[in-house]
Amino acid sequence: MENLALLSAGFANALTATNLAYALLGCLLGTMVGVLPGLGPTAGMAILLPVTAWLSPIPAIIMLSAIFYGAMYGGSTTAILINVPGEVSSVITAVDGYRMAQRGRAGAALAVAAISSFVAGTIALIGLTFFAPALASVALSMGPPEMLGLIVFSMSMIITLSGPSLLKGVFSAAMGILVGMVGLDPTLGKARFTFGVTPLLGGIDLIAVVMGLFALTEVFKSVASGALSISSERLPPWYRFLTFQELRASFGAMLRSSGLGFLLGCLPGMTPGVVSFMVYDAEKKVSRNSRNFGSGAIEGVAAAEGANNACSAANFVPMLTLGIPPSTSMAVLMSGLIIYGLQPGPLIFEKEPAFVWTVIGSMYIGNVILLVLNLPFVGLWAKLVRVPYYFIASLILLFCFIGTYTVRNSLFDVGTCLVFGIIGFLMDRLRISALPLVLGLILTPLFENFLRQTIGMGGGSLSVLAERPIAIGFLALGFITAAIALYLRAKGAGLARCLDAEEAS
Amino acid sequence: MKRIDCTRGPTLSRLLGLVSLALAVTCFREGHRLWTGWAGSGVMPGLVGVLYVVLAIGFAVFPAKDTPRAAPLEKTQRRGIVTIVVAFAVYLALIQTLGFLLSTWAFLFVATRVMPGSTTIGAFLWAGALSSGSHLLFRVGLGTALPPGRFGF
Amino acid sequence: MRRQFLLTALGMVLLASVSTPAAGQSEYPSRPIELVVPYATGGSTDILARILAKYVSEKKGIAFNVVNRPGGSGIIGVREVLNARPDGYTLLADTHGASTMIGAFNDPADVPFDWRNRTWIGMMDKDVILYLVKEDSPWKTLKDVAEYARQNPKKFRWGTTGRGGIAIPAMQQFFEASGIPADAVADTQVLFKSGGEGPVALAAGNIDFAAQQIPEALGLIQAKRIRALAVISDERLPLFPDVPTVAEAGYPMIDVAGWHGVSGPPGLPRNVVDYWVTLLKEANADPVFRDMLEQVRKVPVFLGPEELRAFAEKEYEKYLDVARKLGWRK
Repeated sequence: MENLALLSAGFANALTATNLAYALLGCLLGTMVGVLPGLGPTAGMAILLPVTAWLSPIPAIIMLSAIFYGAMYGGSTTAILINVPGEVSSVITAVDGYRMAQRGRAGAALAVAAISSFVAGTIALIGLTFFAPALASVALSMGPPEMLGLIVFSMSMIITLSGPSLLKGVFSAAMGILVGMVGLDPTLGKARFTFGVTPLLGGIDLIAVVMGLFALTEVFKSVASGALSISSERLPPWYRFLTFQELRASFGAMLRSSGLGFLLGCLPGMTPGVVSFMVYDAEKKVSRNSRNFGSGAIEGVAAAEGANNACSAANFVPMLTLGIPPSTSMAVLMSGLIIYGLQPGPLIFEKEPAFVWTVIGSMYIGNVILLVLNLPFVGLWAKLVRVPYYFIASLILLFCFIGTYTVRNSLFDVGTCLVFGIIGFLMDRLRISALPLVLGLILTPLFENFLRQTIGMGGGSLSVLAERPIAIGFLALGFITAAIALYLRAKGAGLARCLDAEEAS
Repeated sequence: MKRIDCTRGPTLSRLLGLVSLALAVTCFREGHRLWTGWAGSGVMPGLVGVLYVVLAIGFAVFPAKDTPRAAPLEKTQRRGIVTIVVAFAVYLALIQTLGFLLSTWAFLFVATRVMPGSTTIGAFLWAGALSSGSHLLFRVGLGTALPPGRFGF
Repeated sequence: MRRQFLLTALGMVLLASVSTPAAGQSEYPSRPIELVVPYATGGSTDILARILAKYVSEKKGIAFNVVNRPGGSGIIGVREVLNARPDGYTLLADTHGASTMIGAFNDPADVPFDWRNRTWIGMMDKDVILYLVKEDSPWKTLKDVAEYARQNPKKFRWGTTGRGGIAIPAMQQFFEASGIPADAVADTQVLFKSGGEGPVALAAGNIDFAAQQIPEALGLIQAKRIRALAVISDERLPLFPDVPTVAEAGYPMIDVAGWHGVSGPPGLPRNVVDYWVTLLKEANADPVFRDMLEQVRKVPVFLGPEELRAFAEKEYEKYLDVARKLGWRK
């Protein structure tokens, strides 16, 4: 219970006027940036980093973390309302959230996203408070072979994410893998699939792809459908935005996704993007409402938001205790620590208790701030679905530019976004799901990296896997889930075809 | 009455099969070029090549039978989409000369005007508000390095 | 048609309303300077660039903005700077990885510029490398490691970051000095994407031997999970008084080191170079700046344009040799 004493000291520190002000300011700025369509934590932190450069260590880190989870949070708003995910982690939120918005349930989706983020963030922080050092050793025992197993296991998701046609789904995933390989090989530095085009050496930016496939495609789709606004449904009065049934239905999903998201987030290399896919898929398999996942299930929104918020809090474990930041945003936070001479490592909790516990305390507070800050606005945001679409379309186009440009300051990336907007539109016309593409794109670098390291550990072969029961377990699990999913697919093929036909009408 | 177009499915399958085959060849060539061993850069391209071969066989053996066709596009809609795409491309080509503010204004004006329900004046003003608003917020306020163009803004 | 006309008209009106910037500015710098970091936010070059930017902005009161242009292990950002107008308002946060290593390690066909073709300005710090083993490893010295590797080349697992990492030539110099052929231990090499992963893999027992810069290894060293056998430096570091230098460990020929500094596009005017050389020299003598560097575990070093060029040229030869031995270059 020593941790509780430390945490309460941290709270006392975090609640001093200055620190509280910076947490609040960070949450505000983060949410504002995140709410701008197309700007997620990566772009948001890149833009706001200079703002924090002038502060002393603790306020700077408090503010940077607040910007991080504020932007994470704000990103879900645009994903739900206008199908513009600013980051891979909100792609899954958009899947069910946007469908709900189109049906006039934007308020419910936003409210559940807010509550789920809060619940997940708090659960993850409790985990961080009591188990961080223990989790560090779990993360340590998950070496390259184990992570390879986990990634192979998660590839079985392609089967469930494929939509009506498995072949088209796998085709989409293969496209993602191919796109993920373009550029200099991240560890060996050889140019692959660049065909002599210099900007391609830098690889194809993930956020540009996501913005193209979802945001830009959405604009094209609305031109094609001639829709005048996102939803033509009448909006419910404010007290009916979220019904008790909806809240109750999503409660289980919130808790499960928080737990699983947190555990996965402690492992090396697991970004909120990857984890939200994995958790959503798991939730779909256990949920009573799994049939509606993908067509506006509120549980889906709860699971996606729970997963990515729990994961982003959990990402502090490998970053703080091992010095291996899973995402760019975490790398930025870590560089913040290093600049101030705070050394990440197993001893950081012992050597810098004041710092660590103040930041953790401020994150608890930040979570509350976000909820209080955002829940009242749900009703206002929800009205956006009735705004004439041409206002929104130009906003999306503007942020397709700003959102993709600011990540790497590259016009080429904006061009990539345009190309993937066209590809996304074609895929939509041909009923090829874009989700496997994104999954392939985010799993490829992880897969290749862990595969290569496993081979290196085995002296040129995969032989080392034989000594690794956990890795074998994951691989076996992957093949079993794939087999089951294929079987269910074959059995339900007739049904799926009917559904598909209906959907197209 | 639900309309299901049965001709589209097999044609699409054949097309995707051919695309897979072509990509498989590309992957194998790239994998071969880069081959240095089982931990080298050529492994992934090779694996994806195999995946594409499997896909090509899959599309040949199980062509789709009754994939429903999306509602065909009308002429104005097609023109709308093409206009946005072309305007976006022109925008990217001009932004380094004209700068963020001007070219964004022009691009958003064209794109907004294409959308159903917009008016010329409204589109012009809205595009102006968006571009100058984001210019002020990101460039002036936050010092983001948006492309400045020849005139410095 | 009408739309086109409108567009053109709009362009003309706005063109006319803009006054052209005053020509022939004499005083440098007269507007904000961009320091391009060719890597993502959060890496060590980025950290150093931000430290420099903060110092320069505070000291000189000029706006000195860090802009990240990551991609292609630095190639994208470097190309951008080398093609920029040489007016002193676009500068490069230069490092070993963005200059000599691009030149030596990458296939020239993949690199769209000549790495030498830049205006060298100065070096501000050196990045020192440690040779590391797991805390409970039986090896006490570098010689022990070499002995084991010679006898069990197929079991000896060693790790570094991928291409562009300074640890790669450090490892190769070690193997060469120990008389171990590069291809004997090539199969058991484990490559990591980022610097922190190697020490972690070492602590977890997934590899046996690693070379890494200090910031990424320090946390695990302090926690007694991994142990430093030697440091590539002329003298012992105050941070690790018990860790011998490579010379003391019997390897005087090992001498690679990472560095950070500032460069510009080719043909940078004399006054701009002088301005920055003076500034970097002043910074190097300023205890405030030295403290900032030491806080991020870098060793403050100043080299002027000519020395830096010569230094880079010498490093290039070493790296090229390594690249040939590893079969990366012909």
